[in-house]
Amino acid sequence: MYPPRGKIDHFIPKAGLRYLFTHPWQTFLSSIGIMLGVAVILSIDIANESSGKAFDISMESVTGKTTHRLLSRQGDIDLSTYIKLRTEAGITISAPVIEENVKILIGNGYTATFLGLDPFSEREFRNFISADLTGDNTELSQLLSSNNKVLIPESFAREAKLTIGDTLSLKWGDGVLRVVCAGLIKSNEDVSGNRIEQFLISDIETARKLFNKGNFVSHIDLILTPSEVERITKTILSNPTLQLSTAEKSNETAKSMTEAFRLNLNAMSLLALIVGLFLIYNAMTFSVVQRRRLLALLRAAGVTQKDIFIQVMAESIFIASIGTIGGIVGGIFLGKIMLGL
Amino acid sequence: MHYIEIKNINKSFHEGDTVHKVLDDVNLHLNEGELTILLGRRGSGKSTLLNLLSGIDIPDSGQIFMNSTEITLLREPARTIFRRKNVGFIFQFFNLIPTLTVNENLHLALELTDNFTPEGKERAKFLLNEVGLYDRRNSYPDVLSGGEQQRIAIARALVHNPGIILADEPTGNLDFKTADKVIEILDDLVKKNGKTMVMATHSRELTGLADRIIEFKGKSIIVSSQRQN
Repeated sequence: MYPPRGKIDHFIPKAGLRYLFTHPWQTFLSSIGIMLGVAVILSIDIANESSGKAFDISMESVTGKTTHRLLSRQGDIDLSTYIKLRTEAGITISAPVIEENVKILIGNGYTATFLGLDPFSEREFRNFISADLTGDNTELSQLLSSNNKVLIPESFAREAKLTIGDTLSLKWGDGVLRVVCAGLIKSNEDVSGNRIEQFLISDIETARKLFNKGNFVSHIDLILTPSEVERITKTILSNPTLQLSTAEKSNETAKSMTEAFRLNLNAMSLLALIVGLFLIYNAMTFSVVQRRRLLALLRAAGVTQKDIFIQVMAESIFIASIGTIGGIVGGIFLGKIMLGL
Repeated sequence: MHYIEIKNINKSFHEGDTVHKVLDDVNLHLNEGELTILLGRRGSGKSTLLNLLSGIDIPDSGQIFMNSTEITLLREPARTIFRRKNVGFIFQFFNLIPTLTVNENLHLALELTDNFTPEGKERAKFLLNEVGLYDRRNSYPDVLSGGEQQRIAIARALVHNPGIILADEPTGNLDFKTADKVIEILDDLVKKNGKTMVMATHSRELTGLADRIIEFKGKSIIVSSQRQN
């Protein structure tokens, strides 16, 4: 009863394709509908992914390759603990860090994390203080030899129109601190153009003096193997005021702060998906409804429902391909615009 | 020999809660090579019967045999295949594919019935000459007049050499002069090719051509009469 398999009718596709080409505006509008749908989904997804990545990069910039962090339950941690770590526990890959939140008094003000780091211990943890200085190492020597010298991210310097040698006023508690920009950090933040958090970096001695830390630091960053964790537990952690936490756990607080931000982006992404699907569905429905008479005539001529379905699917794929290519280009363009907002 | 046998056919249409019974226990037989005219007012059930004979629609109950095949037992895809191979349908509104040329409309009918061969193409050429429109073979239907479109539709209905031609008010959309010309061509071609034809019409003027006249009076009474030769 059925025609032999594998036989390709060519007058049916011809009739369908001619309709598309003889009604260019309908075809164009259908493609535009799909293009918009794809562009909306893609652009929101790009913005969402980029923001998430920027956050991760920002967190990584601050924590680096740290696996564990030694903290004091009483707040700051005594530097004698740092010495004990090296001598008693034999942990050599460790870096003392002073971390404070400040407000940079430029324009409406920028909230920033001030990091006081030991350049000699940092190479294993974060690379921006030892390798990524712009120009030669004059700034590094300045950072070490002079007081109140800081490094700032290059992108932030560009945005705040700061150059090397400029003085910055930082609000810390009730007081105002003055620091000088000694160099710029080429941070990974430029990957997306979005910044979750700004940070300033100084030599740990400068930070101790600025924030009156005396012989204390905020925490000690560590890169530990399981056996070293065991060693620290037996020696250093005999002092009940000290605690060893994983870097992931330390980041959890910051992560929870940005959870709402991520939730909003996810909601927006889902909304974009629904809007996009609706646009695509409408475009395809419009395309089929417009050709209802032609499809009915083909049925009357003896074309089976299956052949009509295959024909409609083939034409939909054709229109969708044009729309998708345009949508990808448009989506990337829109995504970039949204990231710039 | 009966080419078509219709046994106890019932067909109703539902419109909301109202049921319109169009065919009520209809029994008929049509002979091979005969021209049968279904005569009746608009809405009397002529087109419904043609749609049932062609397999476009199915009855609520009853049996239809065409050339010994019980088409009422066939599922939809099989009915479509059966229809396109065995039936040539001429519609009131021509139903030519607007995006295919005259030639391609005929070639589509050939392709659907696996007759798109050099012989099939030659037959298409012959029929276009017969209806006097070979010169318009590369034109699209929308540039042709109503009469010309119906002549193309007649050629398309015959091109794959079906066993039966069904014509639903073939002159219903044409002026008198054009209608006469179309009927003349249709009658000539059908008789020349020895085809069985069933034509639905509300025009009594055409009954002179018929071998058999089936008149639709009311909902259930069908009067069949034989032309006296």
